[in-house]
Amino acid sequence: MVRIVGRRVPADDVEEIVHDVFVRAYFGLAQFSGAVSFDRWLAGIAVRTCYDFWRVRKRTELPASALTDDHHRWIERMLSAQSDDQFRDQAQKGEAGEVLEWALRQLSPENRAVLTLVHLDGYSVREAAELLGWSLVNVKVRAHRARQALRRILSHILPGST
Amino acid sequence: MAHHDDDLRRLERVLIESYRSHSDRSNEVVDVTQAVMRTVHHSNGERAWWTPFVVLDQLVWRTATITAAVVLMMTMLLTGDLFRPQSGETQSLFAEELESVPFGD
Repeated sequence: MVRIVGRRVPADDVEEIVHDVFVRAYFGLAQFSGAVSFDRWLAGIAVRTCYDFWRVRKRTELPASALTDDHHRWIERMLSAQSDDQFRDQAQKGEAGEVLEWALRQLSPENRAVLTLVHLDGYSVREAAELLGWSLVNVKVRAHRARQALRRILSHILPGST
Repeated sequence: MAHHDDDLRRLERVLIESYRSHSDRSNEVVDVTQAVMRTVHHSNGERAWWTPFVVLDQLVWRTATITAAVVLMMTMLLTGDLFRPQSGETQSLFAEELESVPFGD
Protein backbone atom coordinates (compact mmCIF):
# COMPACT_ATOMS: atom_id res chain seq x y z
CA MET A 1 0.00 0.00 0.00
CA VAL A 2 2.68 2.46 1.11
CA ARG A 3 4.72 1.41 -1.92
CA ILE A 4 1.88 2.24 -4.33
CA VAL A 5 1.18 5.58 -2.68
CA GLY A 6 4.86 6.38 -2.14
CA ARG A 7 5.50 6.09 -5.87
CA ARG A 8 2.72 8.49 -6.76
CA VAL A 9 2.63 11.37 -4.31
CA PRO A 10 5.31 13.55 -2.68
CA ALA A 11 6.90 12.01 0.45
CA ASP A 12 5.29 14.62 2.71
CA ASP A 13 1.82 13.59 1.61
CA VAL A 14 2.22 9.79 1.77
CA GLU A 15 0.93 9.40 5.32
CA GLU A 16 -2.17 11.48 4.68
CA ILE A 17 -3.00 9.64 1.45
CA VAL A 18 -2.49 6.20 3.04
CA HIS A 19 -4.85 7.30 5.79
CA ASP A 20 -7.45 8.34 3.19
CA VAL A 21 -7.06 5.02 1.37
CA PHE A 22 -7.81 3.00 4.51
CA VAL A 23 -10.77 5.19 5.43
CA ARG A 24 -12.18 4.85 1.89
CA ALA A 25 -11.62 1.09 2.04
CA TYR A 26 -13.41 0.84 5.39
CA PHE A 27 -16.48 2.70 4.15
CA GLY A 28 -16.38 0.89 0.80
CA LEU A 29 -16.17 -2.63 2.24
CA ALA A 30 -19.82 -3.24 1.36
CA GLN A 31 -18.92 -2.82 -2.32
CA PHE A 32 -16.18 -5.45 -2.18
CA SER A 33 -17.69 -8.33 -4.13
CA GLY A 34 -14.75 -10.72 -4.11
CA ALA A 35 -14.54 -10.69 -7.93
CA VAL A 36 -10.92 -9.58 -7.53
CA SER A 37 -8.51 -10.29 -4.69
CA PHE A 38 -8.64 -8.01 -1.66
CA ASP A 39 -5.10 -6.78 -2.39
CA ARG A 40 -6.08 -5.77 -5.92
CA TRP A 41 -9.27 -4.08 -4.68
CA LEU A 42 -7.26 -2.11 -2.12
CA ALA A 43 -4.62 -1.25 -4.75
CA GLY A 44 -7.41 0.17 -6.95
CA ILE A 45 -8.56 2.43 -4.12
CA ALA A 46 -4.96 3.56 -3.57
CA VAL A 47 -4.44 4.35 -7.26
CA ARG A 48 -7.71 6.29 -7.49
CA THR A 49 -6.98 8.21 -4.26
CA CYS A 50 -3.60 9.28 -5.66
CA TYR A 51 -5.30 10.27 -8.92
CA ASP A 52 -7.77 12.42 -6.93
CA PHE A 53 -4.84 13.95 -5.04
CA TRP A 54 -3.31 15.18 -8.31
CA ARG A 55 -6.65 16.38 -9.65
CA VAL A 56 -7.06 18.63 -6.60
CA ARG A 57 -3.38 19.60 -6.63
CA LYS A 58 -3.50 20.52 -10.33
CA ARG A 59 -6.30 22.97 -9.67
CA THR A 60 -4.74 24.63 -6.63
CA GLU A 61 -0.98 24.48 -7.05
CA LEU A 62 1.27 26.82 -8.99
CA PRO A 63 3.03 25.32 -12.03
CA ALA A 64 6.20 23.36 -11.37
CA SER A 65 9.35 25.45 -11.41
CA ALA A 66 11.85 25.14 -14.24
CA LEU A 67 14.80 22.80 -14.12
CA THR A 68 18.10 24.12 -12.78
CA ASP A 69 21.60 24.01 -14.29
CA ASP A 70 22.33 20.94 -12.13
CA HIS A 71 19.57 19.04 -13.92
CA HIS A 72 20.86 20.04 -17.36
CA ARG A 73 24.39 19.02 -16.39
CA TRP A 74 23.04 15.67 -15.17
CA ILE A 75 21.30 15.11 -18.55
CA GLU A 76 24.57 15.77 -20.35
CA ARG A 77 26.49 13.41 -18.04
CA MET A 78 23.83 10.73 -18.51
CA LEU A 79 23.93 11.03 -22.30
CA SER A 80 27.70 10.80 -22.36
CA ALA A 81 27.77 7.68 -20.14
CA GLN A 82 29.81 5.06 -21.98
CA SER A 83 29.11 1.89 -20.02
CA ASP A 84 25.97 0.35 -18.51
CA ASP A 85 27.40 0.85 -15.04
CA GLN A 86 27.87 4.57 -15.64
CA PHE A 87 24.35 4.76 -17.03
CA ARG A 88 22.93 2.97 -13.98
CA ASP A 89 24.88 5.27 -11.67
CA GLN A 90 23.20 8.25 -13.29
CA ALA A 91 19.80 6.65 -12.73
CA GLN A 92 20.53 6.53 -9.00
CA LYS A 93 21.20 10.25 -8.79
CA GLY A 94 18.66 12.52 -7.16
CA GLU A 95 18.45 14.61 -10.31
CA ALA A 96 16.90 11.69 -12.20
CA GLY A 97 13.94 11.56 -9.82
CA GLU A 98 13.60 15.33 -9.90
CA VAL A 99 13.58 15.49 -13.69
CA LEU A 100 10.97 12.72 -13.81
CA GLU A 101 8.82 14.48 -11.23
CA TRP A 102 9.17 17.75 -13.15
CA ALA A 103 8.06 16.04 -16.37
CA LEU A 104 5.14 14.22 -14.71
CA ARG A 105 3.86 17.49 -13.26
CA GLN A 106 3.48 18.87 -16.77
CA LEU A 107 0.98 16.09 -17.58
CA SER A 108 -2.72 16.13 -16.86
CA PRO A 109 -3.76 14.04 -13.81
CA GLU A 110 -5.35 11.46 -16.18
CA ASN A 111 -2.23 11.12 -18.31
CA ARG A 112 -0.06 11.00 -15.22
CA ALA A 113 -2.14 8.20 -13.66
CA VAL A 114 -2.10 6.06 -16.82
CA LEU A 115 1.55 6.71 -17.66
CA THR A 116 2.65 5.83 -14.12
CA LEU A 117 0.71 2.56 -14.17
CA VAL A 118 1.48 1.38 -17.69
CA HIS A 119 4.92 2.77 -18.56
CA LEU A 120 6.58 3.17 -15.18
CA ASP A 121 5.04 0.41 -13.03
CA GLY A 122 4.72 -1.94 -16.00
CA TYR A 123 1.06 -2.95 -15.53
CA SER A 124 -0.80 -4.18 -18.60
CA VAL A 125 -3.49 -1.93 -20.10
CA ARG A 126 -6.17 -4.30 -18.78
CA GLU A 127 -4.76 -4.23 -15.24
CA ALA A 128 -4.45 -0.43 -15.35
CA ALA A 129 -8.08 -0.17 -16.50
CA GLU A 130 -9.19 -2.38 -13.61
CA LEU A 131 -7.23 -0.38 -11.06
CA LEU A 132 -8.49 2.97 -12.29
CA GLY A 133 -12.03 1.75 -12.93
CA TRP A 134 -11.87 3.09 -16.52
CA SER A 135 -12.68 1.41 -19.81
CA LEU A 136 -10.01 -0.57 -21.64
CA VAL A 137 -10.21 1.68 -24.71
CA ASN A 138 -9.89 4.83 -22.63
CA VAL A 139 -6.74 3.55 -20.91
CA LYS A 140 -5.25 2.31 -24.20
CA VAL A 141 -5.76 5.68 -25.92
CA ARG A 142 -4.55 7.62 -22.89
CA ALA A 143 -1.46 5.45 -22.48
CA HIS A 144 -0.44 6.25 -26.04
CA ARG A 145 -1.19 9.96 -25.73
CA ALA A 146 0.52 10.22 -22.34
CA ARG A 147 3.67 8.61 -23.73
CA GLN A 148 3.67 11.04 -26.66
CA ALA A 149 3.14 13.97 -24.29
CA LEU A 150 6.01 12.85 -22.06
CA ARG A 151 8.32 12.47 -25.05
CA ARG A 152 7.41 15.96 -26.21
CA ILE A 153 8.17 17.40 -22.78
CA LEU A 154 11.49 15.55 -22.50
CA SER A 155 12.57 16.46 -26.02
CA HIS A 156 12.58 20.15 -25.00
CA ILE A 157 15.16 19.61 -22.28
CA LEU A 158 17.63 17.63 -24.37
CA PRO A 159 20.83 19.48 -25.27
CA GLY A 160 20.55 21.18 -28.65
CA SER A 161 16.76 21.51 -28.57
CA THR A 162 15.39 25.01 -28.91
CA MET B 1 17.12 13.64 -35.88
CA ALA B 2 18.10 10.00 -35.32
CA HIS B 3 20.64 11.20 -32.75
CA HIS B 4 17.94 13.23 -31.00
CA ASP B 5 15.61 10.19 -30.91
CA ASP B 6 18.39 8.08 -29.48
CA ASP B 7 19.03 10.65 -26.73
CA LEU B 8 15.32 10.80 -26.01
CA ARG B 9 15.15 7.01 -25.66
CA ARG B 10 18.13 7.06 -23.30
CA LEU B 11 16.57 9.79 -21.19
CA GLU B 12 13.28 7.88 -21.00
CA ARG B 13 15.11 4.70 -20.04
CA VAL B 14 17.14 6.32 -17.29
CA LEU B 15 14.03 7.96 -15.85
CA ILE B 16 12.15 4.65 -15.80
CA GLU B 17 15.14 2.96 -14.16
CA SER B 18 15.34 5.75 -11.60
CA TYR B 19 11.63 5.41 -10.85
CA ARG B 20 11.86 1.66 -10.34
CA SER B 21 14.98 1.78 -8.19
CA HIS B 22 13.42 4.51 -6.06
CA SER B 23 10.23 2.44 -5.74
CA ASP B 24 12.20 -0.50 -4.39
CA ARG B 25 13.57 1.71 -1.64
CA SER B 26 10.23 3.25 -0.71
CA ASN B 27 9.14 0.54 1.69
CA GLU B 28 9.18 2.73 4.73
CA VAL B 29 6.74 1.94 7.50
CA VAL B 30 3.82 4.32 7.79
CA ASP B 31 1.64 3.74 10.81
CA VAL B 32 -1.71 5.38 10.32
CA THR B 33 -3.69 2.91 12.42
CA GLN B 34 -4.56 5.37 15.17
CA ALA B 35 -5.52 8.13 12.73
CA VAL B 36 -7.69 5.78 10.65
CA MET B 37 -9.45 4.44 13.76
CA ARG B 38 -10.11 7.98 14.95
CA THR B 39 -11.54 9.06 11.57
CA VAL B 40 -13.72 5.96 11.28
CA HIS B 41 -14.97 6.36 14.86
CA HIS B 42 -15.68 10.05 14.30
CA SER B 43 -17.48 9.41 10.98
CA ASN B 44 -19.54 6.60 12.48
CA GLY B 45 -20.53 8.92 15.33
CA GLU B 46 -21.65 11.54 12.84
CA ARG B 47 -23.57 8.97 10.84
CA ALA B 48 -25.28 7.57 13.94
CA TRP B 49 -26.32 11.07 14.95
CA TRP B 50 -27.66 11.86 11.48
CA THR B 51 -29.48 8.60 10.74
CA PRO B 52 -32.68 9.20 12.85
CA PHE B 53 -33.03 12.67 11.35
CA VAL B 54 -32.67 11.39 7.81
CA VAL B 55 -35.25 8.64 8.41
CA LEU B 56 -37.65 11.11 10.08
CA ASP B 57 -37.20 13.57 7.24
CA GLN B 58 -37.98 10.92 4.63
CA LEU B 59 -41.00 9.72 6.65
CA VAL B 60 -42.45 13.22 6.91
CA TRP B 61 -42.01 13.94 3.21
CA ARG B 62 -43.49 10.63 2.09
CA THR B 63 -46.47 10.95 4.43
CA ALA B 64 -47.04 14.54 3.25
CA THR B 65 -46.91 13.51 -0.42
CA ILE B 66 -49.34 10.59 0.03
CA THR B 67 -51.72 12.74 2.11
CA ALA B 68 -51.68 15.50 -0.51
CA ALA B 69 -52.46 12.99 -3.26
CA VAL B 70 -55.36 11.49 -1.29
CA VAL B 71 -56.79 14.95 -0.46
CA LEU B 72 -56.54 15.98 -4.13
CA MET B 73 -58.37 12.85 -5.27
CA MET B 74 -61.11 13.28 -2.63
CA THR B 75 -61.54 16.94 -3.60
CA MET B 76 -61.87 16.04 -7.27
CA LEU B 77 -64.44 13.35 -6.50
CA LEU B 78 -66.51 15.64 -4.28
CA THR B 79 -66.32 18.52 -6.76
CA GLY B 80 -67.46 16.22 -9.55
CA ASP B 81 -70.42 15.06 -7.45
CA LEU B 82 -71.54 18.58 -6.54
CA PHE B 83 -71.47 19.99 -10.06
CA ARG B 84 -72.76 16.96 -11.91
CA PRO B 85 -76.27 17.93 -13.18
CA GLN B 86 -79.24 15.69 -12.35
CA SER B 87 -80.80 13.82 -15.35
CA GLY B 88 -83.33 15.94 -17.36
CA GLU B 89 -82.35 19.03 -15.50
CA THR B 90 -79.87 20.27 -18.08
CA GLN B 91 -82.27 20.58 -21.01
CA SER B 92 -85.00 22.43 -19.08
CA LEU B 93 -82.50 24.84 -17.57
CA PHE B 94 -81.04 25.51 -21.02
CA ALA B 95 -84.50 26.16 -22.49
CA GLU B 96 -85.36 28.54 -19.67
CA GLU B 97 -82.12 30.35 -20.26
CA LEU B 98 -82.90 30.80 -23.97
CA GLU B 99 -86.42 32.02 -23.30
CA SER B 100 -85.26 34.61 -20.84
CA VAL B 101 -82.92 36.25 -23.38
CA PRO B 102 -84.67 39.30 -24.84
CA PHE B 103 -84.66 39.64 -28.66
CA GLY B 104 -84.84 42.78 -30.66
CA ASP B 105 -83.81 45.14 -27.86
